Amino acid sequence: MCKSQENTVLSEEKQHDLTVRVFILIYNCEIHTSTAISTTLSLFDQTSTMLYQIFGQMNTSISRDNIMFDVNIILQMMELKDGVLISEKICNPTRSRHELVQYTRIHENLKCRPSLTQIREMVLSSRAKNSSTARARV
Amino acid sequence: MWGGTLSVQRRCVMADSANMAEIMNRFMETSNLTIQPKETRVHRLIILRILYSFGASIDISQCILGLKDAGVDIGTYNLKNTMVALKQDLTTMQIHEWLVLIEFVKVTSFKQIISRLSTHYDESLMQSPIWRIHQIIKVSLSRHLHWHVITT
Repeated sequence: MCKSQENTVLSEEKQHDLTVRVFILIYNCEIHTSTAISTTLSLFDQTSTMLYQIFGQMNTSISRDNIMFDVNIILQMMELKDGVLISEKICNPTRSRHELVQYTRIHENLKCRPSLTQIREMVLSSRAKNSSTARARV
Repeated sequence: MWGGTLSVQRRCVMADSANMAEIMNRFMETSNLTIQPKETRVHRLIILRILYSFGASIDISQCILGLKDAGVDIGTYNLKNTMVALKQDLTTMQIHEWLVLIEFVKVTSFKQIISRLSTHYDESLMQSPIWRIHQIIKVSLSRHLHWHVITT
C-alpha cells in the first residue's frame, strides 16, 4: 500500500476542528505555512496527500474581502478550550516562567516593557505642556 | 526539577506552552489591550493575535470594526507598539507556539458558520476559503474511505 494513501477517517467534529486550524495557519504570515499545516495534519493522523490538495486548491485567488469575512465569522464563533488554563498561563506569567526552567529559548533574553514607552510618552507630553505654559507666562 | 520522570516529549510540550504563554504575555503588554472586562481579556487578546498573524492578507482595523458590529468588542489597544513589537520579532511566535495556541481555539457551531457562509456567498460558495478547506478535507477523506472500501 502506498504510504500517502493511509489517511485516517475523522469524525465530523475533528474535521471541523481541522478546518479551522488549517484556515488559521494557511494565512499566517509569521511561520512556514506548509510545515505548520503538515504538522497539524500529522496530529490528526493525516498524510501529506491532503497537504498537496489543500495547497493545490487554495493557491487560486481568493479575494481579501472573502478572507476578512471568513476570519470575522471564525473569530465571532471562537471559544477557548481550557479557557481557565490559558488565562492562568497568560495572566500569571511567573508560573509559566517557572515552567520554562532550562528550556528557555531566544525570546527569554528579550525584554520589552511597553509601560516604559508609555511613561516616556507621558513624560514627553507633560514636558511639552510645561514648556508651553511657561512660554505663555512669559 | 524534572527528576528524570517526565518524558522528553512532555518536557518539550511544557516548554512550548510556557513559551507561548510568555510571548502572549509580552503581546498583551505591548498591545496594552483594554483590561476591562477582565474576564474576556485573554479571549480578546487571542482574537487580536490571530488577526495580526494574517498580516497584509487582511485589513486588521476593518476586521476589528466588523467584529465590533457583530457584538465582539475587542476594546482599545496600542496599535503602534503592537506593530513595532511584531516587526522587531519580540512577539512573533514560532510554529510550536502557534500549534499550542490553536489547540485552545474551538468554534461553537460549525453548522452555523456554514449557514452564514451560504447566506453570504450564495452561489459562489467556493470563493469562501473556509468552505474550500472544508470541502478539500471532506473530499480527501471520502476518497480515502472509498479507496479503503475497494481494497478491503
